[in-house]
Amino acid sequence: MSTNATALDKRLKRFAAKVAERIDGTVAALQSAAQEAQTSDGAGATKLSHFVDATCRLLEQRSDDDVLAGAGYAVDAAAQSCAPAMIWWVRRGGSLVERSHSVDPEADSFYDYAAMRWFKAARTDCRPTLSGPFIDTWGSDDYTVTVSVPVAVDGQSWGVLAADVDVRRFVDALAADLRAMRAPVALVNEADRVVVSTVPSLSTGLPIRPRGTRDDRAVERRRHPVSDYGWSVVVLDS
Amino acid sequence: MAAPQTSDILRSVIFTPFEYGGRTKAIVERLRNAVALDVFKDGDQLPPEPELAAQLGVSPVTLRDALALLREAGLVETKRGRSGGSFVRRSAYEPVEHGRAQLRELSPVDLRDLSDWRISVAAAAAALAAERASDEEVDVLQVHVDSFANAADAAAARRTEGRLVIALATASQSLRHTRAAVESVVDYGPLLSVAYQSADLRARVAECHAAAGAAVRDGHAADAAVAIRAAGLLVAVELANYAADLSAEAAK
Repeated sequence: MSTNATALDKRLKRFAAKVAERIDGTVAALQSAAQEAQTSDGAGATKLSHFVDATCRLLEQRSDDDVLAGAGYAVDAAAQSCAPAMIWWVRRGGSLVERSHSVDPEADSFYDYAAMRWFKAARTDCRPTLSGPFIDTWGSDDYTVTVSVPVAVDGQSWGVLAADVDVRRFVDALAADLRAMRAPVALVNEADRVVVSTVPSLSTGLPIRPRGTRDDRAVERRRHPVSDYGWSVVVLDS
Repeated sequence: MAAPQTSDILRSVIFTPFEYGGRTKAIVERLRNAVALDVFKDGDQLPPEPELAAQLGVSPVTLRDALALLREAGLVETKRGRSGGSFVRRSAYEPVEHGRAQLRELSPVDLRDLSDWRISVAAAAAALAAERASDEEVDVLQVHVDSFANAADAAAARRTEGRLVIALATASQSLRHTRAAVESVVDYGPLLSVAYQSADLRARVAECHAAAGAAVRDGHAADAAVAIRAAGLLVAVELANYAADLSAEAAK
């Protein structure tokens, strides 16, 4: 491998580590909020209420972190044999506002969180999960990356705690590092969807290849994983 | 603490200021759609009249007229006193009657225009989705396609198709298409409650949806758009015929 390629690999690796660090920070905040909520009260009757304060405090404590757009908790209705329930806080200017979601399956605007990756994958895989970028209809109504952690007590699933990342701000914060790459590079999610790239036509949300052409035998790309979140930094064909 | 807010797109569609005449009726229509779409739940209190009037960009008098019509229809109940205000009564909402009333109001040209717009929105989203959807999104689309095929009544068909159209728009990775899809679900929903009473129509539309789902999965943009357009046209023709029958009935 040439010296140039090695230098690029180093930069890719450093970039991947930086992204992972950013996500790790949010995961840690969610996990400590989960801890706080679980120890706040022994009674299990009103599990949702434990998390109302914890998620609100999480956003208050990180008020200087403007990449964090919102946070909340959704009850594992199937495991708890109860009705779906969810609490969500969003930042509006300087204050926090509760965002309501329709959790009535009969409603046209039903927010089926149990079917969404941020809930489903976190619960099934029992580990911190990174979802997006996706357009969160009936939710944030904008491009969203969601970081989520499962909450389980004595092996029994309670629900999922999650935080929304403001994708535009997140991408802006990475722009300078990307420019320094001086190569066609993209940060992609587990489905090879662009989070941010150095190629102007490959903007946030686009797949690096259209669906119809995905079976083409592409050269195995140089790739650096972003910790074990499923995201990676890839070198694109120039 | 401020009251919980629903989806921003939904709110902005519902609370867009009216620019032309017939405002009272238009507001009744909009608020009825808001009830239909669960923006307001049963027993929810509407914002105070001055605030609501300002949000909708109409005079308090116009809003009061609209609320009176909604009260007559049983969709709103007004209580006096300290804990008074206007409350939503969702149980009084009758989707089919709402759709029939809309059909009576629309001229054939306006109905065609509304149908064309709805079809264009969904077809364009389907074409983009065929290029841009992830495998996970394709699986979600398939769930909605199957739910529609299994829908046992008009309400379930309307609901599941709305989810399919919005899922296509989000898979298209376009915020504007998503907004347009939500708007079309709001504006066309009551008409679908009428059209999808026909099990035969539901079955024929389900076939188109299945073809569209397969085309998106295979990455065939043009086929996806054609299939979604075909589904929309079947509904548009059904509604045009239904509207003609209604006006023939009225002429008797």
